[in-house]
Amino acid sequence: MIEAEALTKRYGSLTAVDALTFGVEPGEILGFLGPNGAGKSTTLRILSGFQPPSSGRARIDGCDLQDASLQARQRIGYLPENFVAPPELRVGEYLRFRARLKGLKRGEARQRAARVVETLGLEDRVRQPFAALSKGYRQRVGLADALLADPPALLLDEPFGGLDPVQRQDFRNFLRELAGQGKAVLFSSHVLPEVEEIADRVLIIHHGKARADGELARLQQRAADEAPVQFRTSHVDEAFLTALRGFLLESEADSLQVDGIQLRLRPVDGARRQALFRWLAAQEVEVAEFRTLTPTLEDLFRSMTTEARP
Amino acid sequence: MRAFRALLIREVWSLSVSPFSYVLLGFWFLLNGIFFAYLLASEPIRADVDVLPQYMFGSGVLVWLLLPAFPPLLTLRLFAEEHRLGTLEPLLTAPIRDIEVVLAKYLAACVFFLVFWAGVLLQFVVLGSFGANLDWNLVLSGFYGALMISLLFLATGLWASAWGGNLLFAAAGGAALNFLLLFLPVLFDQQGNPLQGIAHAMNIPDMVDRGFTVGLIDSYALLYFPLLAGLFLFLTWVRLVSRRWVP
Amino acid sequence: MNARRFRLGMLTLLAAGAGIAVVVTLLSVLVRPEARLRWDLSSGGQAGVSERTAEALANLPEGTRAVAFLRPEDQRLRINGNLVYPRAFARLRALLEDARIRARGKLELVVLEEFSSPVDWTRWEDELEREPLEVLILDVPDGGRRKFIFNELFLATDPTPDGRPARLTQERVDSALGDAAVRLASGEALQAGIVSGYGQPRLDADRGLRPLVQLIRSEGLDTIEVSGPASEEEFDVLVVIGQTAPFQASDLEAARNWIHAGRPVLLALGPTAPVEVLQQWNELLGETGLQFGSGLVCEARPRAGAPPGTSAVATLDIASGQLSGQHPVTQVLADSGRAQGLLAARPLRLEGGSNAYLRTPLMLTTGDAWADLDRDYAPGPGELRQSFPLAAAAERWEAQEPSVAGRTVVLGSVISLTGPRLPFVQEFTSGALRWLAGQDAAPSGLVSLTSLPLRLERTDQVRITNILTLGIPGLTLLVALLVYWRRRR
Repeated sequence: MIEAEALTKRYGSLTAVDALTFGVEPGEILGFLGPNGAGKSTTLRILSGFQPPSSGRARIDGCDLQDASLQARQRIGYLPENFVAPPELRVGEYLRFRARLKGLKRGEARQRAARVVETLGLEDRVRQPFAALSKGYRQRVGLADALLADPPALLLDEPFGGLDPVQRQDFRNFLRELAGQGKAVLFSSHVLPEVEEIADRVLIIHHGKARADGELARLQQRAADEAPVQFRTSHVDEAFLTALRGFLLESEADSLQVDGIQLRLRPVDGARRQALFRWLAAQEVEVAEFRTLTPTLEDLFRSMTTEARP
Repeated sequence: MRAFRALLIREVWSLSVSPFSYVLLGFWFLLNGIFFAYLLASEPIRADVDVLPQYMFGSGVLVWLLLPAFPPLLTLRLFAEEHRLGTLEPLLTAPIRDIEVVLAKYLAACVFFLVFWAGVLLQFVVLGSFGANLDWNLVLSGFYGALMISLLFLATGLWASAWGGNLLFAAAGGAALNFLLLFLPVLFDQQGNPLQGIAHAMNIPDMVDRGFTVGLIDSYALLYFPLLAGLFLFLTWVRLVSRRWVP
Repeated sequence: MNARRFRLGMLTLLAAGAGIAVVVTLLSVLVRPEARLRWDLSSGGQAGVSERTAEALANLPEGTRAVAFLRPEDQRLRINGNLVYPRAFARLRALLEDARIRARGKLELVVLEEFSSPVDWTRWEDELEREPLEVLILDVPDGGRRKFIFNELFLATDPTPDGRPARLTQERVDSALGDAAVRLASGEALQAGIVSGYGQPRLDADRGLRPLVQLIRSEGLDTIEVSGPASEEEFDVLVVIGQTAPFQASDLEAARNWIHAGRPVLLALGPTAPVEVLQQWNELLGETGLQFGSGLVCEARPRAGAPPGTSAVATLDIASGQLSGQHPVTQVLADSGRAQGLLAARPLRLEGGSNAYLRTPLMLTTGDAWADLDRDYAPGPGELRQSFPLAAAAERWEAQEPSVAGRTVVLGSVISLTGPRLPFVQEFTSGALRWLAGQDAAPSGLVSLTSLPLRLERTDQVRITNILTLGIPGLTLLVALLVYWRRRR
């Protein structure tokens, strides 16, 4: 539904988005993850048709964003990063206008506007001008706008920004529902739990480059493989440490942290972890505890984004 | 077409609920009212009220000073302010053609500027209600001429507004462009100037003073303003689509 | 970013170039006079030149120029305020611009204004031999040229001693331009032969007939000075003003033949004309029925301070009601309410004559006038108060070729046609000349420039000012507040 092909955006010498290729299928929720300034918003702007890419192609439902921009835009619901509506318009007026702008008939427009207002809990703000709304409500108006025309593809830039926890939960369920209806959802975030909770797949982007693209489960497996182990021994002395260092590979040795009798290191993969366990058992020291730390997306994110730059 | 209509209605609506438009409108009415009252107090005008349309819709110093300055103030909100606020992004990612955006905004400004001139027309109605024997044909033909010039000046204002989020540039640039269009040809339309032919064909005060306000409608003047306005709308459109086209 | 800026800039420039090229091409086609359509929306339909004038101008040879000299020259019109010139010049410019376009490119328009370069002024004045007060010169390449003085094109009321400025009332630019174009297009102008051999006022003196000669020329007739009707020169209208000696036999014979042939005559003899001259002309004009009476027409006007017993009673105000509204010469003046002023006039009689002639008194005194015979400037026993004709016209009854057959205009005053007095009867004289030249077919060329003046009560004036400066803007403010309040709620 949403396709990006070697999408690149350069601003002079700065490459904001670097040969990004990915796709979002109908019914799929893709979490677009990256620290601030990683190129998430730029990518979403390109996909929304607001900016052209320097090179590469973007398609929505088969419509090229440059050759068939209008058709592509008809299939998008887009929430910009810092959504603003004309301050003098009331929320209801704005939503009705947007619905008409997106080609809905008058009655239909009113119905849809009422529906999204209800979905996003904006009922008591409908008669307020946009300028009078708080940040959270503004964000919700933007979401309402994106959902208005019931588009097959949703591009949401930091959609959880202004929502309180309850609304977040509601909105997560709502997104799932939308995906269940066969919509392709691409949302960006720099907050991990929310991505973790609802995204089927996560795309991590750093300095414009995609770092990982895959099923969340597979990613988590990968993260688990790379998860650090922590163990406690009865005592730690120089001899033991020398022996341990002798056993460890170079990168593993580098990651070794010693805190009294508690040690922590990062094995290169699962096999090495098992090898380490066996090696420890063979030693004289008594192993009081040996556990693999639960890998979070945070770990993955950190490990990927703190990599040495190319 | 539905998108175009929606945007047109929303722009007119926005203009008509924004306090700034009313400040502009009130200021315009006030200045024109003072000028009108001043004219009425002068003996030559009272001797012959048929020259009033000439002063209010052309010839008058006030018209030539106010007219280039006001349309850009009205159009600056159409692109520059939207750009500044960030409301342009939702608009341009909506399924609406760029040309529709340009035309809807332009038409909205035209509709609203009609109110500006309607106020001046109202002044004539007031005068008429006090028993002045006005030649309404001249009043209306002058009114029509004023609308024609506004058509052009709103288009230049829109173009100046499409250059980014700088409101000062949008207002001052548009006004400067209008002043140039208005006075540069007058400057060159002099006996013996080699550019006189071209300058005369672009001499807007001439088209008004020897055309609309005396009741003479010329097909050239009738087409000059829309054509030039069309040129600036085209440039505005180019400005908008080039953003989509040029990487 | 820079590369993108550059590309954006180039694209914009390219598009601008293409757009401008298209618009300029279109406009350059549309601006050509042939491509233009014009509509006159003014309620009088007289905002532009008439179809006839446009047609006549379009028939002029290529390269015809209309040069307007727009500089206020008559200081009298600027006393107490300048209401005449700006309006007149604006009107003239609008009409000339209209004429230029409607003449389908045949007319080149040159407008010199007060602020135009003095070099241009001098150049054009020299090239066209402009005289003072001439505001418009129509110049045809082969040498035909027609000059218009301000008063010829515009009629203005005089400034009054009580402080009212001169005011523009009417103009006849269109008809004057049309007439001139017709005449210049036909190539040959009618000749007026002005007789100078019998003690007439001098033709080249400012206090003599020079202004009249100018007027005749500005009506599109050429003038030649002839010693008498028997002159070898060819001419079409015989003009005799202030003859003081009777014709010699040959000239008398020629004059008789002239009148008998029904050729046009403009004749003015004043109260001081010798009896022999009067007898000669009364005899010559016998057939037409126009006769000179005797005495000096006097009229005591109570308000203007002309008490009987002083020569001031010989100054005659001819109100528009005293002009014939039926005759082409005076019809326009009568209709438009224009007064004329005559000084020292001899009464005329309309009597005898042949039935072949139609006679019309053009100018009458009021019933209070008397013909003063004894020079006491007071009505005496033999000097009955009655209405006297002061000017009259005759023409042949039957329509025949030429259409001017038998056209004769007689005026009982000479001083009025000379020097500084001419402006007071200029319009009458113009009318007479046009009629004699066969130009009466044209409808009234006078266009009224005044609407009813606005008379406002002081309280109304204040009320209007309040509505305009407080009411309408205040209402706007109120609506603004209402909207603001409604939407903030």
